[in-house]
Amino acid sequence: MVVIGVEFRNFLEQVTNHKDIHFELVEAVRRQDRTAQFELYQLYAKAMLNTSYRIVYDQMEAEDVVQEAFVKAFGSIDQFRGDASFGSWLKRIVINGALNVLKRRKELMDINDQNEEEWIEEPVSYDTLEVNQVKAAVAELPDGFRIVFTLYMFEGYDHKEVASILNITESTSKSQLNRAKVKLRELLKNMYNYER
Amino acid sequence: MKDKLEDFIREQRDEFDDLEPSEALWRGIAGKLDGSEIKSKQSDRYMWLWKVAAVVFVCLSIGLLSERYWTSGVSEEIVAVEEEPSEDIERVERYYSQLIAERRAEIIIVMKQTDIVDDQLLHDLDDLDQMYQELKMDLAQNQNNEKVINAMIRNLQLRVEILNKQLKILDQLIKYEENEAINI
Repeated sequence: MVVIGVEFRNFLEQVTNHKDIHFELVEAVRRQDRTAQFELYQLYAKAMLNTSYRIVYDQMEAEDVVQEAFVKAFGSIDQFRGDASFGSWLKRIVINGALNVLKRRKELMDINDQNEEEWIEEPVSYDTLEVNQVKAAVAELPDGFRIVFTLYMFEGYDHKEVASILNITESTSKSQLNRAKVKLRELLKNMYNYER
Repeated sequence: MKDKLEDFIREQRDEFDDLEPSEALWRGIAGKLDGSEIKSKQSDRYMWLWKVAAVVFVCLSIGLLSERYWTSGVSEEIVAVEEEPSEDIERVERYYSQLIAERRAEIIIVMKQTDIVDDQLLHDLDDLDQMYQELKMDLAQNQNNEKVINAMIRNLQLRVEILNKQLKILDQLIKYEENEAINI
């Protein structure tokens, strides 16, 4: 009866602890267990590579960023307190690394500094829209727009989080996102004649 | 603000992740992790170095001292040629002692900055210093014996070498930590 009680409590703990579904793996990584490191790598490598790529737009550099991020994450796993999931912690490391690459390239223009332009919203039909077309159009966005757009739309951050990652205000994040969307519609229209 | 474009991307979200990591990616990570493990165990590594250095020194001293008894005839000849060896050794001693004191002070400063305190190193250096004092006493008893003088000089050189190597290691550690700090 006592044994069952303990097991049940452990089970409850596991069920109620949604904070990190890979809790056991992370604990093994804390002991620098190479197999556990590899398992976490396999779970996250692809998503992280794509996240990185959407910021740096160069596969080699995207891989370098991911490599550095994993090494850093495994090396400083002690700093991971489990407040968020391992995946979102790792993702922030990847995004910071990718943004640093952009900064180093000096391509990242000051997001606050972009001139206000009035965009006229065009009605666009998305019925026949394809993923590749959206990707191609996103790639054409200016860096400032693209990064806000990517963090919000693909990486699932809200404006508050986007603002803290990019060190901009929430309202800048909002207006950048709207402008990015308008610009994207325009690009889609020009590139694929999406105006019907 | 929801719109059709946003809905489209949210619905197709997984389709947008189409890049696959290359085979080399994990190898790179594993390689770097191995490298950093070595770095994190560096304190153990130089601890080992000092032990080897101390052993080498002890063997060297014993070797040289015992050789002195077997080939005393030869060394007497050499001693006869030496002019004022005790004066020479004093000059050499002054030179090296100063060098050792400087390096030692540098290392202690660096250790304080980095919070890496290697008691073993300081202890080993004290041991070497003690051996040197014994050699010095030995020299006082066996006036101007070249082998003892050589052992003494070798002792001094060894300490300078150890301290130089230690400084280099600490420099590397600091650089490594700085890089880490910049990256984070």
